[in-house]
Amino acid sequence: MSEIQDFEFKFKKYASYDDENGEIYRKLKSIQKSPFYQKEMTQIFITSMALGFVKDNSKPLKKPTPNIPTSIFTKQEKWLMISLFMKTHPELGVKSLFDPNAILENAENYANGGIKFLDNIYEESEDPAEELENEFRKFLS
Amino acid sequence: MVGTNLRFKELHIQNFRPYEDVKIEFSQDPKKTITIFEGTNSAGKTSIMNAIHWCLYGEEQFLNEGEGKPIPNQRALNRTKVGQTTETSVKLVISDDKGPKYQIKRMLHATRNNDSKEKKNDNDAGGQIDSGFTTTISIIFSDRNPNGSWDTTDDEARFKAKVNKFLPQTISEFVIFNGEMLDTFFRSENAEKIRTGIERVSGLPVTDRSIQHWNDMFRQYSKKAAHASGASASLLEEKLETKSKKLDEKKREIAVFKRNLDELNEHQKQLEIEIEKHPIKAFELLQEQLESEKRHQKEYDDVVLKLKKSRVDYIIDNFGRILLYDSIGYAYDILKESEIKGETPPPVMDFFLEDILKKNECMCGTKLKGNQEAIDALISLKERVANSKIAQIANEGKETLVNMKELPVSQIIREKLDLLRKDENRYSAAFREAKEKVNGTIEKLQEYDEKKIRQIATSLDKIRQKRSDVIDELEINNSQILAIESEITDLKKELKGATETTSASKQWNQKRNLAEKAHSTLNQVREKLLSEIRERVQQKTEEIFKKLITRHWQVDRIEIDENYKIRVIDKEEVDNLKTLAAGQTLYLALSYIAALREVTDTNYPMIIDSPFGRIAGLERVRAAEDLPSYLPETQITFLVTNTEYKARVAQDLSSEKHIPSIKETLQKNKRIWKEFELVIDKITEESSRTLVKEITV
Repeated sequence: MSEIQDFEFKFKKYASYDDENGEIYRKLKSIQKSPFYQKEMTQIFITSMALGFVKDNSKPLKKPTPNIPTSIFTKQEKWLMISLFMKTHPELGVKSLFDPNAILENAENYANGGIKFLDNIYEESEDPAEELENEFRKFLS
Repeated sequence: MVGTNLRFKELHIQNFRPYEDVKIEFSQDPKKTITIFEGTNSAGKTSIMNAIHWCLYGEEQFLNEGEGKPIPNQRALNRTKVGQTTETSVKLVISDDKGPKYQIKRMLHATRNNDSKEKKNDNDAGGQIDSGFTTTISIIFSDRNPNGSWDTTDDEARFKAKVNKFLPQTISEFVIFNGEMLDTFFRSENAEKIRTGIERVSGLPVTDRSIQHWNDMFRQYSKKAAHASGASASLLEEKLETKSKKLDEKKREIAVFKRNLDELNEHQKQLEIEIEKHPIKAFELLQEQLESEKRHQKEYDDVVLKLKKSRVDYIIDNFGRILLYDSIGYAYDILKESEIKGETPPPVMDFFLEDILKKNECMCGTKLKGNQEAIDALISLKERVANSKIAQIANEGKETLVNMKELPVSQIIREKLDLLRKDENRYSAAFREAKEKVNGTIEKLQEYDEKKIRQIATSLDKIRQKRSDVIDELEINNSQILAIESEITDLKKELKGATETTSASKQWNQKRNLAEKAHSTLNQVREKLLSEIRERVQQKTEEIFKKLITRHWQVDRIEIDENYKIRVIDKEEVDNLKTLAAGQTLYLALSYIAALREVTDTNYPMIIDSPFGRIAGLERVRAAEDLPSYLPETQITFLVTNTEYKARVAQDLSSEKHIPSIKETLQKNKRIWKEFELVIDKITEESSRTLVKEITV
């Protein structure tokens, strides 16, 4: 157990999105018809991450833009990222907890893979909130 | 009473609006009195009327699409180079039975001083021209003397006096007029114009001058009688004269007030009828209702938005958790397993273990004393928890993940979403209903012309106030008149006593009495004359009107009051003037004009623009047949559109009979002298001019 004694679990200060997706984040947050209008960047990030996961689309960032302050992730959001990491790296087991950076990077990749689905929901529907609900209901077993 | 027959003989128009250089002739034939000018809309019919009016009075009478554009022909202005001058002129020759009687010419010279194309308003040019131009106006009036020589003047004041002598501007409205605008002819402000005009041309000025003469004589003889009677009588006479002048002044003021009051009464009546059609109270109530409905609509809209936001928030809050539900379970299992394997401590806090060791008693109540194994295990656990940072994060995970697992599952989320949606739908329906109500009320409000209602209400308030002021003024003036009259009676008595002292004064008194009698008799003659003229106009208007209109049996009589206001009384003794159809009003106006012309001492020519535009069917034919017969020997010029003049229409849908066109009707009666066509000659894409071509049959 000695190897864990000096460890402190801490994400780096900012989570990143790919530079080319910055406009999607800005749009989703600032345009009134978007379900994420005036919401936190972290909420867009987590929703994208979940979508990326269920669509099995993890996509490494080409040009990371560290613009999402990790301090505003809620405890639940933090544990969604950790759960996802554990699920996608079963070989690590509890040791996953030693690598917050890897957890965050894993989340970024899935969010990067999922943001396009979120953008489609926004772009291709008259009522994106309605479309988001339809997507959500698909997972309510 | 008709004496002189006046006719337009020739009109020479140069560079005036669409005309570049056109000479127009009019019928001089006493039998074939009608000249026709036929042209499409904007061919230049109204410009012919305006040219005559401008030539005589220096302003155009009818402004429509040409408004803002200058009088000088645009092509002529464009051709004018710096240093050059373009002349716009209209020359009108008017003849009587002996040949040309008046030659009137008005010229506008536009000189280009520079190339500036910036536009400026130019009063002489009657619109906007390039600021590089300066303009001047000159006039010439020539009238034929009895010996056949011509008297010519270019002095503006003399020009105006001469024009006003043979055709006062107020009378020109019975000479040159637009048939389509005749239904506004009976507005109250016109009555005054009509009265003044008639009095000026019906021979009354001669009587008026005689009345004035005898009044002056009366004053003169009174003064002489007083003078012959001594200083005190002179003083009394002076006082009497001053008072009499004051009385006349007051009477004139009263006459003005009475006329104003009449107009205000009529205006108020019209506004009251108008406001009854659109009651302001109902309008305001509807507005209040709309405000309240809009508030409800907004409230429902806010609730719908709030519910929708709640639903979206709920989805976003649960989105990650539901989609990663399996991962959450998986992570929890790993943490739990690590705990079993001893890789992570159970979720206890070191201070809690410290407390158990201190008390030597477990939280279940078991005493730890003597149970060294348990104590050692607790100490070991305490050390592990205290020294391991992973314990903290692992414990946080175990707590958070278990909570997340316990949060509502799919079924509950679905039910909650359905509930939110149900509420949202309910409020959306209420919102739609409120919106429909708002739209319904807006539609109702649109039936009201708010601006007009407000204007009417404001005007009505103002008129009522003015009317009340005028009534007050009238009362004050009436009592002042009574006071002055009483003073005058006293002064007269006093003066009579003072002036019957000498034989000279008696003689002057006799002369004065004679002058007074002449003055009073002439006044009576004047009143009788006016009343006769009015009666003749009334009878003639009624006669012509009843012949012209189809439903003549509905009209009992026409009445014209002393202020020349007209009433159309039906069998129920109701005035129908304001409810006449447009065509009937036009007939009434034409009948009235024809009747008025009979009482004037000059038979003026007549030019009518669109005479038949507002009348249809058989009435149109009747107008064409009958109207000229009421204007015998009157030179008539019709400016007509092709449709108005030549169209033959089916009498009714069921028969194949056709009503003849105006052209056919007039030709049948052999009243047409010549027909001319106003042809638009397109020179370039942007410019054109109007030519006048005789139509040969």
